[in-house]
Amino acid sequence: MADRPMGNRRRRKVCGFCVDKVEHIDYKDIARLRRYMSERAKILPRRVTGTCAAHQRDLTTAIKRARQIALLPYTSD
Amino acid sequence: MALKANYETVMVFSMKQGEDGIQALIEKFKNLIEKHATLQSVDEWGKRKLAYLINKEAEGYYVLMNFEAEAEFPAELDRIYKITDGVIRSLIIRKPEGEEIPVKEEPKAEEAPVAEEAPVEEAPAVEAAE
Repeated sequence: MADRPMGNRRRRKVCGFCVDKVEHIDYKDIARLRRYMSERAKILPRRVTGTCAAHQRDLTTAIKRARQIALLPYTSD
Repeated sequence: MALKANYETVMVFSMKQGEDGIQALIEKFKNLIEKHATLQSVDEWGKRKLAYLINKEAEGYYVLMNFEAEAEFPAELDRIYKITDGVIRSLIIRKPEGEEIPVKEEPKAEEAPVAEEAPVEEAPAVEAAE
């Protein structure tokens, strides 16, 4: 239990959607979706953002929908 | 007979056809949806910059509509989107059960003042723990 030193460098990541109790991730909320994309407009992995599995799945569909109607880019450089 | 469900559709019109052409298309789709389904709301987002170029165009006119229809209608609507000139992008989504017409998000007013004080309070707490 006490293996991990307190005040460690790694902060525990929490899913931002769980914190805000988001039930359905809206593909129209591009400001929010942007935060889960890299500079090159790729979807960031769970290990980077700390999103939980269920929300990551919803997030992926939301971003892909937004891309279809040109709200978000597929790539950007 | 057939089951009804709530749908949401976004259509993007080309800016090339001018304001009148766009308004005519909006009317056309409004009437089409009203004829086959129950139109719940129309939300014109207006002119927006596209995230990527579509047919060398950088802007599009976005319109969102919510409607309740039987399962056959979305396929028909999609077919008409595809054969209509001036529609450059479209999306039809079946809304999850129990979800009402989404309300615009309220800005979180509560969090802002708390965030300013938080680091001040936290700092001494860490020292005390050690």
